Amino acid sequence: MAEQKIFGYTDRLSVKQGDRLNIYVNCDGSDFADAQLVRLIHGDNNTEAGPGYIEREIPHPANGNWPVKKQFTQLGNYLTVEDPDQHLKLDGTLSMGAFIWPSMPKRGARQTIMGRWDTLTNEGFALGINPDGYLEFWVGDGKEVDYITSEMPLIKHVWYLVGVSFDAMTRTVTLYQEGVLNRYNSLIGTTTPYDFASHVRTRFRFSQHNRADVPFLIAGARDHHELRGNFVGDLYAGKIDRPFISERILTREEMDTVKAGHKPPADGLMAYWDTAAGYTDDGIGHDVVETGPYRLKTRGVNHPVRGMTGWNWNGKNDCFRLAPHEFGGIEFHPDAVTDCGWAVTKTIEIPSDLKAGPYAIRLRVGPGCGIAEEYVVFFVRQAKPTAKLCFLVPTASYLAYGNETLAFDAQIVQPMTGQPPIISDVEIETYEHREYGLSTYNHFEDGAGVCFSSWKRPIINMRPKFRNSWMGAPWQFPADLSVTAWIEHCGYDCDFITDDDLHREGLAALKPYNCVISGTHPEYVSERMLDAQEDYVAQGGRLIYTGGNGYYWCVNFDPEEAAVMEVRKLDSGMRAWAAKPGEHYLQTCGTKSGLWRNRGRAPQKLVGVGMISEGFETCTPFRRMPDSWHRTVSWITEGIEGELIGDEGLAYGGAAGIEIDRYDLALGTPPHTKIIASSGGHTDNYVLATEEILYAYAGMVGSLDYRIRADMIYYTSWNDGAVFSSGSIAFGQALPAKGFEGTTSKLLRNVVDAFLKDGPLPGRQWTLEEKQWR
Amino acid sequence: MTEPLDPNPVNGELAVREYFDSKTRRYLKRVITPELIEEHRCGPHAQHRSEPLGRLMFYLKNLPIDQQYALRLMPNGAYRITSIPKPGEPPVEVDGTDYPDPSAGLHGIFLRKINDLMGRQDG
Repeated sequence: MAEQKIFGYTDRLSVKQGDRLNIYVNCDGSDFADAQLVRLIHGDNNTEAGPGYIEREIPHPANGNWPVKKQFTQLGNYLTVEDPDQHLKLDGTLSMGAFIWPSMPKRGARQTIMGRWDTLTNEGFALGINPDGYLEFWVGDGKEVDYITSEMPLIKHVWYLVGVSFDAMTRTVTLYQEGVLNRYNSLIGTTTPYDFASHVRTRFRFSQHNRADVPFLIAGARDHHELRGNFVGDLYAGKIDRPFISERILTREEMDTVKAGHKPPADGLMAYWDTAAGYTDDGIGHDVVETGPYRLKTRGVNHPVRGMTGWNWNGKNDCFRLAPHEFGGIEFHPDAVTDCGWAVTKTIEIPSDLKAGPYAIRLRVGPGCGIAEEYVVFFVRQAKPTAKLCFLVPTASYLAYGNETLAFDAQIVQPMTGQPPIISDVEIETYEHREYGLSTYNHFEDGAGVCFSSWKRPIINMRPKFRNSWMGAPWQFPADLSVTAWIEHCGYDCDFITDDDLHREGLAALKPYNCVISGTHPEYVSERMLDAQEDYVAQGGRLIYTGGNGYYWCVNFDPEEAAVMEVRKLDSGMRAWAAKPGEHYLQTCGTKSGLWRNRGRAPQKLVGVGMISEGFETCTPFRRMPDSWHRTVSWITEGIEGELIGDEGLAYGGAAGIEIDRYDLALGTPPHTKIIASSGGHTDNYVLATEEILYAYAGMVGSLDYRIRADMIYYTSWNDGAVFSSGSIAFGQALPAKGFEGTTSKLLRNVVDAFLKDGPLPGRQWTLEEKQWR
Repeated sequence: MTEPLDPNPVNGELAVREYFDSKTRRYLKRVITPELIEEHRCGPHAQHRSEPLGRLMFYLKNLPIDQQYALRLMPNGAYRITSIPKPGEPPVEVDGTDYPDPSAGLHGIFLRKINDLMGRQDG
């Protein structure tokens, strides 16, 4: 019997009461799964310091036995070309060419750059790279395959013009390979004495035979599996810029004119993809403009990366908006996936009276635990908001970390976290099979950083009970369930909206609420999300940031595919990878990515604090600071005995730690901000964030640097608006400790109770006579 | 005419790192004592105040990933030491010892890394 395992996802993360939700399930080893709608109360199964895992089964017509089946995922980037009239079904003479920048030439597997090739039947023609890393052109007639191979191996991360001319009359075939590296565009410079060029000619035994149903593809080739059906294999890794195909022989001299930067000859040209066309100031879509006589509609699959530096990039311009023609590179990765594309398993209706909050369809097969249990998570939102409190679910950050495998791949993780990882069966399973895509903390197999993440795939760490392996505690969604459990415990009427709701609807999504509360680590924020929260506070809203290292990365949701978020990591910041020079701008909107701090919007400007350090393996309490006794803010600590706050918690026993934020007037903390409490004296595993460092020197660690601390702050804004920030990821995970009655919980309850009331905030009466300044 | 260059060159830095690491190991082998091991056992997460343990921890944490270990949570709630999985391969269990909690397991990894270190020939 096959091993039983089950995975799933939804078409949306946010669904309103009364709406319908599609659920997609892949199952091995069973034809049926036991399905149960559950409300997720608490996600951390730590019973020593907290309440343990809590879910509540909800009656629903969809509960019961669901028929499930094996579903397959198409991995990899490639371009599809719609060619209904089969213009590219060239049965005779042809030429093809493209600028390429291979990232894994010696992959040990065949890679197709472009062609019309059927791997199952060996029919058609294609230009590609053989498993040993040499340029190759091949034709097949359904019985045999003939090849012509370059004499010089392709060097990774170097730009080439490659091409082929095939004379069907004489069956003479000529391969063209020339390096086009300049001072900027490739990994190595012009002084490295590699021999890039190769020109080979031979005579084939036969010409290609083309099947009518085989598609012309760029960066992949048609394959077939008995159970799966047709799919795309022989995927290419690297960049392709301005590929073309002609129905006549192109001479060496004509190819040289292409190498010099001219378009391929119009005579005989069947298709020419101007990969740098169609760019706008607001970004680049997924259609690639084909400018030949037939204008063939061409589209990327699984988000090939656009706007990348092209073969002719000369280093002067750093953005595709400034000189589009130098940014024609499209980067392909064989292990990318942004939509599993499975058939719908079930559509469920969300009851109109279902209380807003975090839910899941719990699916079980066989033993019903480990990889035989899945929670397909979604968030229910009030159809018409009636609550005064709203939890802003940081789904952009969930996506960023979705399926991260740092514990397995990143050497840097153990030095960062100070401890070996604690791994679970579900991580081992998904890491071994790698079907469900990566996080923005991963590198693709070819070494490039992952800049897209999507919810249209199973996300194994966006589940209750999941413990982050490299930190040994819940992270993101399961950690945020400690905040929502606290909301539930306190009995607050609370609505739930997601980052993608906020990105789409802007300020209007926040307007109905007196108070908005964040998750533990809302690190990834789009401009629209940031604008909305800034305007919300300035117009009288009250924002509670219960986390650390928030409002950090500039991201965007894809306007063509709402499930997909984009980020580019660059320049500075605590980051898993660094985008290459010239590739720092978001293709989905045209603005620069990286840190908000480096775009003039440091987190301090909105939430008063911003990232200063991370250390993970220990936490501490906060200590009250002198400001907290000021009568404008003393109400925040009312009922708390002593000077320590948060000497408890599910994340290493304290409310201050994991990743922590600091008050900093030089980065835009509002000057009247009060520091309620602060930590400090963290272990030396807490190091200064890289964006703080101009000159590095010894001692930028927790026990030696006063800046390494979590600051808990409060400030007031216009129209009775206000912000409270905890400055620490561990704060949220401290809320359930001591039966939800610890000092962290008492303090936050003071804040929420005050923030929910209409009218002036407590302490407001003192602001005029005492002023707000120290 | 230059010699043909290898398209997949060996990283020359590996030899340089090995030179540096062997010097570090020679120092660490001199300072590993029962007292130092006990200091770690008492607090695998704690701030390591003694300089020898601090330097040892830096070395162990910074090892290449193929020389690192993980703790695997077993269905019975115990923890076992495994290799770090490689893409497409499951982790390899290094022995059958059950550790009752993460702290004990982390100390088990610490001891295993010390064993690896002591087995290296550093002149």
